[in-house]
Amino acid sequence: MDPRGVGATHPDYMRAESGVRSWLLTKDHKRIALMFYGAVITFLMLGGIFALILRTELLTPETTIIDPMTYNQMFTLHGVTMVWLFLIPSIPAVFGNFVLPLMLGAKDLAFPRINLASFYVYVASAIIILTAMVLGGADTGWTFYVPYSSTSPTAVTWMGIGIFVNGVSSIMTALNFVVTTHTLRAQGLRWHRLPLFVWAIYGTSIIILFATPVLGLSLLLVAADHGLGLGIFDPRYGGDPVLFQHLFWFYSHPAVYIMILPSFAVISEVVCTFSQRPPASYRAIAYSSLGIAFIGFFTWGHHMFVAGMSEWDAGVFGGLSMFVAIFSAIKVFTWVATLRGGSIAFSTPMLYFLWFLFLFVFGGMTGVAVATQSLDVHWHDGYFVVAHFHFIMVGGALTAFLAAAHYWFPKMFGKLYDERVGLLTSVAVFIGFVFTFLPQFLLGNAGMPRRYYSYPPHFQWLNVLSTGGAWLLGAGLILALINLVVALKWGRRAGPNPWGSRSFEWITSSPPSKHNFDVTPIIERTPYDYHLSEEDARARSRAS
Amino acid sequence: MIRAHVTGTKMLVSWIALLVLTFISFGISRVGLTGGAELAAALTISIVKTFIVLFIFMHLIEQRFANRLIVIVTFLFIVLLVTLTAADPMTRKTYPKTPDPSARPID
Repeated sequence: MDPRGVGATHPDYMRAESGVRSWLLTKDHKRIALMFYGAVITFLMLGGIFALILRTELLTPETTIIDPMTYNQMFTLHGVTMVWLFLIPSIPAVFGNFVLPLMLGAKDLAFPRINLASFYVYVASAIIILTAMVLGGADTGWTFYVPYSSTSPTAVTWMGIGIFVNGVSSIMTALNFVVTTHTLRAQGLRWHRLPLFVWAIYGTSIIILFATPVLGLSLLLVAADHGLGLGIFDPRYGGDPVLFQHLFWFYSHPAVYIMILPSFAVISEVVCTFSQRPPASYRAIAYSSLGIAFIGFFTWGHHMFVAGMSEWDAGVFGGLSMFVAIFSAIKVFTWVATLRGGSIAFSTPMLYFLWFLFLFVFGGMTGVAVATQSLDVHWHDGYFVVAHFHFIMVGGALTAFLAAAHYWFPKMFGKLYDERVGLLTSVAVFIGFVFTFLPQFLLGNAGMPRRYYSYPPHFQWLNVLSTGGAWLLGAGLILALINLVVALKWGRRAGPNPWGSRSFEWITSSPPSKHNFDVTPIIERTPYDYHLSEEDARARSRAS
Repeated sequence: MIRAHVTGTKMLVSWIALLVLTFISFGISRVGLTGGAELAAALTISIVKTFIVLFIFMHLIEQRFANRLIVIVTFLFIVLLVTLTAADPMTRKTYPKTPDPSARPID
């Protein structure tokens, strides 16, 4: 076979066709992944700029750079942009789209046209959300809590419709992944030979399919309450605001797992590749993804401990919430055990794995604390909760996103990035992140409420630390982006498998040809057979 | 394996059943049942109607069990959402608006 990888005899997917039209109307999952890549990075930068403006405003207790109303609209937009336009689609829509069919030995996703449509629906949702911003934005926070959201004079309806449309895009992508995993696996690729990435993306897709419709309909009802005065949630007309919270969090708590399960997917691949070891327990990692997906639906009520929820429900939800920690711990222990006896390479993705581990465990442990009703009453709507969910969601998802961006960079573009700059930016991102959010735990515990424009002067030094950290984090991210963009143009050529991975996406050329494989592979091994030589592993994963 | 089960007659009968159930829903709302009876009746009728639509009109009855399982799980999640949400108002305690004089602290 060709040492450059299967499919290397054909032009790669970027050069197979040319012209703007060939990109805009493409049905190739890899090109669609790249279009999503460009979009989510744009929204990460936009959300990041909002965050930096917010943090800069909080440098001083009084007005620093923006007025209070702009501040309210900006934290809403920061949340909406980051949650729905970056965190939720980032890893599935970019890396899921790119590598999932490769890992399955498939030529494309099951529904290529729906895949392209999901991109345009995503873009449409972003346009609607940004239109809402131009129309004055919303000042409700990303949770849109009624009764305020049903009375606020700002563009809540537009924002709700934008998020509804975004949900449609998520559902299209998730449906595609589920059907592809069920129907397009290569011959011999049984469920227990699937890469762990596929298991986690499959679990994520199931959550998206079950939970997203509930959010979409809840936000439409808020829009109807806001525009038509229906009184579903608005107490002025006999509605129940707590019902909105039940419906909202029935989606939005599982949404936390929509954001973090794909991160687990990336991390499981990275830890095996860079320690050249099979996972300590394949089944533990695979099944715990499904366990998290399942239990994630039983926990929404812990967001409502102080919303007037009954004590009985609060007790049930508190107990159930702690169950998630068991599955998360299974994963963490299994990843750590995978390192044991491995040939560990401290390359950039591996460093991001270590940061991920720290941030996820730290954020997760504080999650167990806030699932405890008595503690949550003290911390509720304070900076402690802000720090907790940024540690686990943003810290987890961002470090995994960056790990994936570096890990699959050679596969996607056929080039290698500068490793020294990669390591340096990775350290900057981690230090920046810790300095941004660690002070916020202290602020929250000391009683500083979230979303407040002003604060007592004795909180200032912690806010200054946090703002400094945010700017360092921003600089680290920009440097990481520059490193990858420079590598696109001037990077050294990568071989088909520069990391020596055994996972199936690496058996094809880097970058892959338009149809991924010359011949449909027949898989006769698991994706983590590191006891086999690379040649033997190749021989057992393709038909001649 | 996919088998053709749904005939035109079955469609018609199902449609008539849906209409009848809709009229029953309306009738129950006019009777004014007390307690949780009205809610329970409305939910039961809705569930029956949902299954008729899913299995007959969306041809789910022709699908193999693995595909039907997805719908069954979805239904169980909705049951979970409704049960735990309903448990909240049903188990809320209402405290007396005026303090109990005997509970006043001793001066």
